[in-house]
Amino acid sequence: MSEQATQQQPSPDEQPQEGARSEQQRQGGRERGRRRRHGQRGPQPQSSSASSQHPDPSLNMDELRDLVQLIAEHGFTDFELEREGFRVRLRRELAPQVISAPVQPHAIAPQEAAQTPAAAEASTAGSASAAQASASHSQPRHPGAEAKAAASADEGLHIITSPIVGTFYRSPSPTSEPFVRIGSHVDADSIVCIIEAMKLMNEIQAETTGEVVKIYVENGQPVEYGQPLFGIKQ
Amino acid sequence: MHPTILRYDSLPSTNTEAARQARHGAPEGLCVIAREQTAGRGRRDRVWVSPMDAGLYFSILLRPKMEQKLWPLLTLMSALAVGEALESACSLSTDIKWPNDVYAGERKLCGILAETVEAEAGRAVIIGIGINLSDRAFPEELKGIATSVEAETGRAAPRERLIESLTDALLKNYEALQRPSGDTLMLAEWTARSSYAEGKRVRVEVGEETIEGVTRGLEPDGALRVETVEGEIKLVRAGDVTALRQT
Repeated sequence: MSEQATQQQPSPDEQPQEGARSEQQRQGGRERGRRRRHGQRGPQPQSSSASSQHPDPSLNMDELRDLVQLIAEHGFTDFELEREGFRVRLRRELAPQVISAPVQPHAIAPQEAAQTPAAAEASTAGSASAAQASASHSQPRHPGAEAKAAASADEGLHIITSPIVGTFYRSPSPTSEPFVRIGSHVDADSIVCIIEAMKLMNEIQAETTGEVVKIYVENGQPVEYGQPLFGIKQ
Repeated sequence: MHPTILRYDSLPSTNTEAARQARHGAPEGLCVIAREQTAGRGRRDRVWVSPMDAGLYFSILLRPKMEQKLWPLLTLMSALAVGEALESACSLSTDIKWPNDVYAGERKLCGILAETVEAEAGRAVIIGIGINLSDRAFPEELKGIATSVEAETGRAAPRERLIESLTDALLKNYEALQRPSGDTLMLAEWTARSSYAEGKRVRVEVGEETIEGVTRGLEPDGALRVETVEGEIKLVRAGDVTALRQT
């Protein structure tokens, strides 16, 4: 008998209605928020009395940047800060936690990229060298930044990145040929791969003309938003 | 938006035909319906058996304005629409197995396959929906895990009424999803409608890896949160989810 035939359906009364957010709060996001605030301002109760000391409860960019840096340094994956009328939540996903494909030996290139606050910072740092510097010196623990830096180090290549988080497939079905291989010529309309998320199969186009010279991800691997997939020599 | 419905006696696949139409610039809201499919497809080219008049084989073409990274929510939204249509046209209550299989009791009634299409006219998404109307829709060996509208309600499925309800529900949910906070509202609705959202013991098979745990709601992008015995939260965005016996 299949497992499906033996499951118990909870009655509607028992069915929890709460969504992901309250669960994440139970996961410790608020705890971390408190800890951060304690570290900076000494012990205070988390209540409206805390926010009364902040006439402007929002954060400016410098403060936000400091926060990102601090939580990255301490390896936090989830951080939430709440003040009256204002809330900021920062979260980073570590690749090994994202189970959306079989874990295979990493044979090709940096593919552990995770979209992290640090990676986002690095990628907006203004130039490839700045991104690389921040990846290799001040942010060594963030594979997302490293992957971006590695891809941008392949000078002159057009990098096709993932528009969504999902699972990367090189062929339309398990038994068919890959869309492209190293050396394949592509033009703007060429389909280079499929990324599956929540059973939506996303066709990804090359959006440029050239030759495939790098494939950064293996078939069946999870990919993050913005992660390099292919390098195209134009 | 008003749907345009194209009806065929037989097609290889309604999704393939809708994708072809999308490449030729067809507007969103185009629906393709066939009485049978000779090459019906499921995820990763699994076969979707589609005998004449035994199932509803339906695809709709959409051209969402929202960011592409939110597009996977369309598949959860579609499962909700199927549930609403079955409720209103057939008075049949259903469950949703993450992310978008529609179940009656513990057996599968409907599968959904969504695919994006890249075309000069812009990127589109095709949502393919297969609903078993009678038990002829699936092979005998699936009887333990599949079911049909007819088997569940004890009468012939009202095909035309179901098509009308489904089209209405899809367009209504689609428009709601694209409004501000539409994604949050849809996820809340999904969470309320699916027994898989919270507290369900599941096994997830992704390629060669298997994880087991208890479901803990959805991520904002629709990923399923599963808490393992070790207390770790795993995020599932692909793979086959199976319910386990409750302890």
